[in-house]
Amino acid sequence: MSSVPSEGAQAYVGQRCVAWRFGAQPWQWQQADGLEAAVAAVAAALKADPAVRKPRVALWLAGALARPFIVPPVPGLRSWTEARRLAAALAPDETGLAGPCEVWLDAAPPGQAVLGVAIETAARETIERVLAAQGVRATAMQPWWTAAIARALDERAALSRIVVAEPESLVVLAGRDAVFSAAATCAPLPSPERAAAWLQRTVLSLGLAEGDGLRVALSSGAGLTDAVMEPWA
Amino acid sequence: MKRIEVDFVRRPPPGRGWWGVTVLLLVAAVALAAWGWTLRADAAGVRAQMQEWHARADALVHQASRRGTLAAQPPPVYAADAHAALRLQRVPIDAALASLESVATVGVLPVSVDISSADATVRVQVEFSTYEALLKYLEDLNAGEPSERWILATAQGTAQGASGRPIALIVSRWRKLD
Repeated sequence: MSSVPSEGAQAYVGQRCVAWRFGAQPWQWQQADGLEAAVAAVAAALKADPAVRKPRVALWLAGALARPFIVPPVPGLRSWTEARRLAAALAPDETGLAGPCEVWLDAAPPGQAVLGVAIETAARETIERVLAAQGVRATAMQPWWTAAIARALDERAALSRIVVAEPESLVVLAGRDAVFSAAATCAPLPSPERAAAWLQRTVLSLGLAEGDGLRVALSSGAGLTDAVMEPWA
Repeated sequence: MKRIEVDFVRRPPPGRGWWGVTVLLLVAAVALAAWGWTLRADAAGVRAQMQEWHARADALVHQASRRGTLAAQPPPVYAADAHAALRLQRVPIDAALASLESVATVGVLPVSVDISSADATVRVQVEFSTYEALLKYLEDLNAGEPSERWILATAQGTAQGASGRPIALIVSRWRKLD
Protein backbone atom coordinates (compact mmCIF):
# COMPACT_ATOMS: atom_id res chain seq x y z
CA MET A 1 0.00 0.00 0.00
CA SER A 2 1.42 3.34 -0.96
CA SER A 3 1.66 5.96 1.76
CA VAL A 4 0.25 9.39 0.97
CA PRO A 5 0.15 12.65 2.88
CA SER A 6 -3.15 13.71 4.37
CA GLU A 7 -3.45 17.14 2.79
CA GLY A 8 -7.03 16.34 1.85
CA ALA A 9 -8.15 15.45 5.39
CA GLN A 10 -11.00 17.59 6.73
CA ALA A 11 -12.99 17.45 9.92
CA TYR A 12 -16.06 19.18 11.30
CA VAL A 13 -15.76 19.63 15.03
CA GLY A 14 -18.54 20.49 17.48
CA GLN A 15 -19.35 19.92 21.13
CA ARG A 16 -21.65 16.96 20.60
CA CYS A 17 -20.83 15.69 17.13
CA VAL A 18 -17.84 15.32 14.86
CA ALA A 19 -17.34 14.40 11.22
CA TRP A 20 -14.29 13.75 9.09
CA ARG A 21 -13.31 12.82 5.59
CA PHE A 22 -9.86 11.75 4.38
CA GLY A 23 -9.25 12.39 0.72
CA ALA A 24 -12.14 11.32 -1.45
CA GLN A 25 -13.73 9.08 1.19
CA PRO A 26 -17.30 9.84 2.31
CA TRP A 27 -17.89 11.89 5.44
CA GLN A 28 -17.91 9.90 8.69
CA TRP A 29 -20.15 11.31 11.46
CA GLN A 30 -19.90 10.41 15.10
CA GLN A 31 -21.51 11.58 18.32
CA ALA A 32 -19.12 13.10 20.83
CA ASP A 33 -19.20 13.91 24.51
CA GLY A 34 -17.59 17.28 24.49
CA LEU A 35 -15.00 19.03 22.36
CA GLU A 36 -12.00 17.08 23.63
CA ALA A 37 -13.61 13.77 22.75
CA ALA A 38 -14.59 15.05 19.33
CA VAL A 39 -11.07 16.17 18.47
CA ALA A 40 -9.61 12.96 19.87
CA ALA A 41 -11.92 10.94 17.64
CA VAL A 42 -10.72 12.81 14.57
CA ALA A 43 -7.07 12.40 15.54
CA ALA A 44 -7.50 8.70 16.26
CA ALA A 45 -9.22 8.11 12.94
CA LEU A 46 -6.48 9.97 11.12
CA LYS A 47 -3.74 8.04 12.88
CA ALA A 48 -5.51 4.75 12.26
CA ASP A 49 -5.53 5.27 8.51
CA PRO A 50 -2.50 3.36 7.22
CA ALA A 51 -2.43 5.47 4.06
CA VAL A 52 -1.69 8.64 6.02
CA ARG A 53 2.00 9.46 6.23
CA LYS A 54 1.91 13.00 7.66
CA PRO A 55 -1.26 13.47 9.75
CA ARG A 56 -2.63 16.90 8.97
CA VAL A 57 -6.21 18.03 9.07
CA ALA A 58 -8.18 21.14 8.17
CA LEU A 59 -10.73 21.80 10.88
CA TRP A 60 -14.20 23.26 10.34
CA LEU A 61 -15.52 24.66 13.58
CA ALA A 62 -19.18 24.34 14.46
CA GLY A 63 -21.16 27.53 14.96
CA ALA A 64 -21.35 26.80 18.65
CA LEU A 65 -17.56 27.08 18.91
CA ALA A 66 -16.85 30.09 16.70
CA ARG A 67 -19.57 32.71 16.92
CA PRO A 68 -20.02 35.96 15.01
CA PHE A 69 -20.91 39.24 16.66
CA ILE A 70 -21.00 42.91 15.81
CA VAL A 71 -18.46 45.23 17.43
CA PRO A 72 -19.98 48.71 17.63
CA PRO A 73 -17.88 51.72 16.71
CA VAL A 74 -16.04 53.06 19.74
CA PRO A 75 -14.56 56.56 19.55
CA GLY A 76 -11.07 57.03 20.92
CA LEU A 77 -9.56 53.76 19.75
CA ARG A 78 -6.03 54.49 18.60
CA SER A 79 -4.85 51.20 17.19
CA TRP A 80 -5.95 47.88 15.81
CA THR A 81 -4.61 46.16 18.92
CA GLU A 82 -6.89 48.26 21.10
CA ALA A 83 -9.85 47.39 18.88
CA ARG A 84 -9.08 43.68 19.18
CA ARG A 85 -8.73 43.93 22.95
CA LEU A 86 -12.07 45.71 23.15
CA ALA A 87 -13.72 43.08 20.93
CA ALA A 88 -12.23 40.27 23.02
CA ALA A 89 -13.67 41.91 26.13
CA LEU A 90 -17.09 42.26 24.50
CA ALA A 91 -17.14 38.77 22.99
CA PRO A 92 -18.43 36.74 25.98
CA ASP A 93 -21.41 39.02 26.52
CA GLU A 94 -22.16 39.40 22.83
CA THR A 95 -21.84 35.72 21.88
CA GLY A 96 -22.74 33.81 25.01
CA LEU A 97 -19.34 32.12 25.12
CA ALA A 98 -17.92 31.48 28.56
CA GLY A 99 -14.52 32.65 29.65
CA PRO A 100 -11.79 34.52 27.80
CA CYS A 101 -12.09 34.62 24.03
CA GLU A 102 -9.84 35.13 21.08
CA VAL A 103 -11.31 37.34 18.42
CA TRP A 104 -10.87 37.81 14.71
CA LEU A 105 -11.94 41.24 13.45
CA ASP A 106 -13.04 42.10 9.96
CA ALA A 107 -11.58 45.09 8.21
CA ALA A 108 -13.86 48.10 8.27
CA PRO A 109 -13.56 51.85 7.86
CA PRO A 110 -13.14 53.85 11.07
CA GLY A 111 -16.37 54.82 12.78
CA GLN A 112 -18.37 51.84 11.46
CA ALA A 113 -19.57 48.68 13.12
CA VAL A 114 -17.36 45.70 12.32
CA LEU A 115 -17.91 41.97 12.29
CA GLY A 116 -16.01 39.92 14.85
CA VAL A 117 -15.69 36.18 15.29
CA ALA A 118 -14.94 34.79 18.72
CA ILE A 119 -13.72 31.46 20.00
CA GLU A 120 -13.10 30.53 23.61
CA THR A 121 -9.41 30.46 24.33
CA ALA A 122 -9.92 27.26 26.27
CA ALA A 123 -11.63 25.61 23.28
CA ARG A 124 -8.82 26.50 20.95
CA GLU A 125 -6.20 25.30 23.38
CA THR A 126 -8.10 22.05 23.85
CA ILE A 127 -8.13 21.44 20.11
CA GLU A 128 -4.41 22.17 19.80
CA ARG A 129 -3.50 20.08 22.83
CA VAL A 130 -5.43 17.00 21.76
CA LEU A 131 -4.12 17.15 18.21
CA ALA A 132 -0.55 17.65 19.40
CA ALA A 133 -0.84 14.68 21.74
CA GLN A 134 -1.74 12.52 18.77
CA GLY A 135 0.95 14.03 16.55
CA VAL A 136 -1.62 15.63 14.28
CA ARG A 137 -1.20 19.14 12.92
CA ALA A 138 -4.10 21.44 12.11
CA THR A 139 -3.61 23.24 8.81
CA ALA A 140 -6.73 25.40 9.22
CA MET A 141 -9.30 26.22 11.88
CA GLN A 142 -12.25 28.03 10.31
CA PRO A 143 -15.92 28.37 11.21
CA TRP A 144 -17.98 26.23 8.86
CA TRP A 145 -20.62 28.95 8.50
CA THR A 146 -18.02 31.10 6.66
CA ALA A 147 -17.86 28.39 4.00
CA ALA A 148 -21.66 28.35 3.90
CA ILE A 149 -21.73 32.11 3.33
CA ALA A 150 -19.16 31.85 0.56
CA ARG A 151 -21.21 29.16 -1.16
CA ALA A 152 -24.40 31.17 -0.72
CA LEU A 153 -22.76 34.24 -2.25
CA ASP A 154 -21.77 32.11 -5.23
CA GLU A 155 -25.49 31.37 -5.64
CA ARG A 156 -26.79 34.85 -4.84
CA ALA A 157 -24.41 37.77 -5.03
CA ALA A 158 -27.05 40.17 -3.70
CA LEU A 159 -27.57 38.14 -0.55
CA SER A 160 -28.32 40.38 2.44
CA ARG A 161 -29.27 37.93 5.19
CA ILE A 162 -28.54 34.30 5.91
CA VAL A 163 -29.29 31.75 8.56
CA VAL A 164 -26.95 28.78 8.85
CA ALA A 165 -28.48 25.81 10.61
CA GLU A 166 -25.96 23.31 11.94
CA PRO A 167 -26.56 20.19 14.03
CA GLU A 168 -25.96 22.09 17.27
CA SER A 169 -26.39 25.79 16.46
CA LEU A 170 -28.10 28.49 14.42
CA VAL A 171 -26.06 31.38 13.08
CA VAL A 172 -27.72 34.48 11.66
CA LEU A 173 -25.88 37.17 9.72
CA ALA A 174 -27.18 40.20 7.88
CA GLY A 175 -25.60 43.01 5.97
CA ARG A 176 -25.49 44.91 2.73
CA ASP A 177 -22.61 45.32 0.34
CA ALA A 178 -19.44 44.60 2.33
CA VAL A 179 -20.74 45.71 5.72
CA PHE A 180 -22.30 43.39 8.26
CA SER A 181 -25.02 44.94 10.38
CA ALA A 182 -26.31 42.08 12.51
CA ALA A 183 -25.08 38.73 13.85
CA ALA A 184 -26.51 36.27 16.32
CA THR A 185 -25.90 32.68 17.41
CA CYS A 186 -28.22 30.25 19.07
CA ALA A 187 -26.29 27.48 20.78
CA PRO A 188 -26.80 24.90 22.07
CA LEU A 189 -29.65 24.26 19.74
CA PRO A 190 -32.98 23.94 21.58
CA SER A 191 -35.98 22.02 20.33
CA PRO A 192 -37.13 22.86 16.80
CA GLU A 193 -40.09 24.86 18.12
CA ARG A 194 -37.90 26.90 20.45
CA ALA A 195 -35.30 27.35 17.70
CA ALA A 196 -37.98 28.66 15.35
CA ALA A 197 -39.18 31.05 18.06
CA TRP A 198 -35.63 32.29 18.67
CA LEU A 199 -35.15 32.87 14.96
CA GLN A 200 -38.41 34.78 14.67
CA ARG A 201 -37.53 36.91 17.68
CA THR A 202 -34.07 37.61 16.29
CA VAL A 203 -35.45 38.64 12.93
CA LEU A 204 -37.81 41.07 14.59
CA SER A 205 -35.33 42.47 17.09
CA LEU A 206 -32.54 42.93 14.54
CA GLY A 207 -34.86 44.13 11.79
CA LEU A 208 -33.97 41.35 9.36
CA ALA A 209 -37.39 40.84 7.78
CA GLU A 210 -36.49 42.58 4.55
CA GLY A 211 -33.98 41.61 1.89
CA ASP A 212 -32.78 38.66 -0.09
CA GLY A 213 -32.40 35.82 2.42
CA LEU A 214 -31.10 32.29 2.29
CA ARG A 215 -31.24 29.39 4.72
CA VAL A 216 -28.41 26.85 4.67
CA ALA A 217 -28.99 23.66 6.58
CA LEU A 218 -26.32 21.11 7.46
CA SER A 219 -27.60 17.85 8.83
CA SER A 220 -25.75 15.05 10.54
CA GLY A 221 -24.77 12.28 8.18
CA ALA A 222 -24.49 14.51 5.13
CA GLY A 223 -21.38 15.88 3.53
CA LEU A 224 -20.38 19.46 4.33
CA THR A 225 -20.78 20.38 0.69
CA ASP A 226 -24.21 18.80 0.59
CA ALA A 227 -25.82 21.39 2.84
CA VAL A 228 -29.31 22.31 1.71
CA MET A 229 -29.86 25.89 0.58
CA GLU A 230 -33.35 27.33 0.36
CA PRO A 231 -34.82 30.82 0.34
CA TRP A 232 -35.36 32.39 3.72
CA ALA A 233 -38.67 34.17 3.69
CA MET B 1 -22.59 40.67 2.62
CA LYS B 2 -19.18 39.38 1.74
CA ARG B 3 -16.90 36.41 2.19
CA ILE B 4 -15.18 36.09 5.56
CA GLU B 5 -11.64 34.77 5.79
CA VAL B 6 -11.34 33.63 9.39
CA ASP B 7 -8.65 31.20 10.48
CA PHE B 8 -7.84 30.56 14.12
CA VAL B 9 -5.03 28.13 13.46
CA ARG B 10 -1.80 29.06 15.15
CA ARG B 11 1.12 28.68 12.82
CA PRO B 12 4.00 26.73 14.33
CA PRO B 13 7.10 28.76 15.11
CA PRO B 14 9.88 28.45 12.61
CA GLY B 15 12.17 25.49 13.21
CA ARG B 16 15.93 25.21 13.27
CA GLY B 17 16.04 24.62 9.54
CA TRP B 18 14.19 27.86 8.93
CA TRP B 19 16.56 29.76 11.17
CA GLY B 20 19.52 28.10 9.47
CA VAL B 21 18.26 29.13 6.05
CA THR B 22 17.58 32.64 7.35
CA VAL B 23 21.08 32.95 8.77
CA LEU B 24 22.54 31.63 5.53
CA LEU B 25 20.52 34.15 3.53
CA LEU B 26 21.64 36.93 5.85
CA VAL B 27 25.28 35.90 5.52
CA ALA B 28 24.89 35.72 1.76
CA ALA B 29 23.27 39.16 1.74
CA VAL B 30 26.11 40.61 3.82
CA ALA B 31 28.69 38.96 1.58
CA LEU B 32 26.95 40.32 -1.50
CA ALA B 33 26.83 43.78 0.04
CA ALA B 34 30.54 43.62 0.89
CA TRP B 35 31.36 42.41 -2.61
CA GLY B 36 29.26 45.18 -4.06
CA TRP B 37 31.09 47.70 -1.87
CA THR B 38 34.44 46.37 -3.09
CA LEU B 39 33.28 46.57 -6.69
CA ARG B 40 32.17 50.13 -6.05
CA ALA B 41 35.56 51.03 -4.64
CA ASP B 42 37.32 49.36 -7.58
CA ALA B 43 35.05 51.15 -10.01
CA ALA B 44 35.83 54.45 -8.30
CA GLY B 45 39.55 53.74 -8.65
CA VAL B 46 39.20 52.84 -12.32
CA ARG B 47 37.09 55.95 -12.85
CA ALA B 48 39.74 58.13 -11.19
CA GLN B 49 42.47 56.51 -13.30
CA MET B 50 40.44 57.07 -16.47
CA GLN B 51 39.92 60.68 -15.49
CA GLU B 52 43.65 61.03 -14.97
CA TRP B 53 44.31 59.49 -18.38
CA HIS B 54 41.76 61.80 -19.95
CA ALA B 55 43.43 64.76 -18.31
CA ARG B 56 46.83 63.64 -19.60
CA ALA B 57 45.40 63.06 -23.07
CA ASP B 58 43.82 66.51 -23.01
CA ALA B 59 47.12 67.99 -21.93
CA LEU B 60 48.92 66.21 -24.79
CA VAL B 61 46.33 67.38 -27.29
CA HIS B 62 46.66 70.91 -25.94
CA GLN B 63 50.44 70.70 -26.18
CA ALA B 64 50.21 69.38 -29.76
CA SER B 65 47.88 72.19 -30.71
CA ARG B 66 50.31 74.68 -29.20
CA ARG B 67 53.08 73.14 -31.30
CA GLY B 68 50.94 73.52 -34.38
CA THR B 69 50.35 77.11 -33.49
CA LEU B 70 54.07 77.68 -33.06
CA ALA B 71 54.81 76.04 -36.41
CA ALA B 72 52.38 78.37 -38.08
CA GLN B 73 54.29 81.35 -36.73
CA PRO B 74 56.84 83.11 -39.05
CA PRO B 75 60.32 81.59 -38.93
CA PRO B 76 62.91 83.42 -36.89
CA VAL B 77 65.52 85.59 -38.52
CA TYR B 78 68.29 83.06 -38.04
CA ALA B 79 66.28 80.30 -39.75
CA ALA B 80 68.07 80.64 -43.08
CA ASP B 81 71.53 80.38 -41.52
CA ALA B 82 70.42 77.51 -39.35
CA HIS B 83 69.05 75.64 -42.34
CA ALA B 84 72.25 76.29 -44.24
CA ALA B 85 74.29 74.99 -41.33
CA LEU B 86 72.07 71.96 -41.13
CA ARG B 87 72.43 71.27 -44.84
CA LEU B 88 76.20 71.74 -44.59
CA GLN B 89 76.26 69.32 -41.71
CA ARG B 90 74.46 66.79 -43.86
CA VAL B 91 77.12 66.97 -46.61
CA PRO B 92 79.81 64.34 -45.99
CA ILE B 93 82.75 66.74 -46.26
CA ASP B 94 85.16 64.28 -44.73
CA ALA B 95 84.31 61.64 -47.31
CA ALA B 96 84.73 64.12 -50.16
CA LEU B 97 88.05 65.43 -48.87
CA ALA B 98 89.27 61.88 -48.17
CA SER B 99 88.38 60.99 -51.72
CA LEU B 100 90.43 63.94 -53.02
CA GLU B 101 93.36 63.25 -50.71
CA SER B 102 93.53 59.60 -51.65
CA VAL B 103 94.23 60.38 -55.27
CA ALA B 104 97.53 61.83 -56.45
CA THR B 105 98.09 62.03 -60.20
CA VAL B 106 101.11 63.49 -61.77
CA GLY B 107 100.22 66.49 -63.90
CA VAL B 108 97.01 67.34 -61.98
CA LEU B 109 96.96 69.79 -59.10
CA PRO B 110 93.84 70.76 -57.13
CA VAL B 111 93.82 74.49 -56.57
CA SER B 112 90.45 75.08 -54.90
CA VAL B 113 87.63 73.18 -53.29
CA ASP B 114 84.16 74.68 -53.05
CA ILE B 115 81.59 72.85 -50.97
CA SER B 116 78.00 73.87 -51.64
CA SER B 117 75.61 72.83 -48.93
CA ALA B 118 72.57 73.96 -50.90
CA ASP B 119 72.88 71.25 -53.53
CA ALA B 120 75.36 69.01 -51.66
CA THR B 121 78.01 69.29 -54.32
CA VAL B 122 81.72 69.63 -54.15
CA ARG B 123 83.45 71.60 -56.89
CA VAL B 124 87.13 71.10 -57.31
CA GLN B 125 89.21 73.29 -59.59
CA VAL B 126 92.36 71.66 -60.82
CA GLU B 127 95.27 72.63 -62.99
CA PHE B 128 96.32 69.94 -65.38
CA SER B 129 99.22 69.45 -67.69
CA THR B 130 97.57 67.19 -70.23
CA TYR B 131 94.07 65.96 -70.91
CA GLU B 132 95.34 62.45 -70.44
CA ALA B 133 96.48 63.25 -66.90
CA LEU B 134 93.11 64.93 -66.22
CA LEU B 135 91.17 61.88 -67.36
CA LYS B 136 93.51 59.65 -65.34
CA TYR B 137 92.75 61.82 -62.30
CA LEU B 138 88.99 61.41 -62.85
CA GLU B 139 89.32 57.66 -63.21
CA ASP B 140 91.28 57.47 -59.96
CA LEU B 141 88.67 59.54 -58.16
CA ASN B 142 85.81 57.35 -59.40
CA ALA B 143 87.63 54.11 -58.83
CA GLY B 144 85.47 51.77 -56.77
CA GLU B 145 82.38 53.97 -56.95
CA PRO B 146 79.18 52.28 -58.15
CA SER B 147 78.61 55.24 -60.44
CA GLU B 148 80.74 58.11 -61.57
CA ARG B 149 80.50 60.47 -58.64
CA TRP B 150 83.06 62.87 -59.96
CA ILE B 151 82.40 64.33 -63.37
CA LEU B 152 84.22 66.81 -65.45
CA ALA B 153 82.21 69.98 -65.66
CA THR B 154 84.55 72.18 -67.65
CA ALA B 155 88.06 71.88 -69.03
CA GLN B 156 89.38 74.97 -70.61
CA GLY B 157 92.79 74.81 -72.14
CA THR B 158 92.79 78.54 -72.82
CA ALA B 159 91.85 79.62 -69.35
CA GLN B 160 95.07 79.28 -67.47
CA GLY B 161 95.68 79.28 -63.77
CA ALA B 162 98.30 80.95 -61.65
CA SER B 163 100.94 78.48 -62.88
CA GLY B 164 100.03 79.00 -66.48
CA ARG B 165 98.48 75.54 -66.86
CA PRO B 166 94.92 74.91 -68.13
CA ILE B 167 92.14 74.72 -65.54
CA ALA B 168 89.37 72.20 -65.23
CA LEU B 169 86.34 72.04 -62.94
CA ILE B 170 85.39 68.67 -61.44
CA VAL B 171 82.05 68.34 -59.70
CA SER B 172 80.77 65.64 -57.43
CA ARG B 173 77.28 65.25 -55.91
CA TRP B 174 76.95 63.73 -52.43
CA ARG B 175 73.20 63.71 -51.92
CA LYS B 176 72.98 59.93 -52.30
CA LEU B 177 75.16 59.40 -49.25
CA ASP B 178 72.46 60.79 -46.97
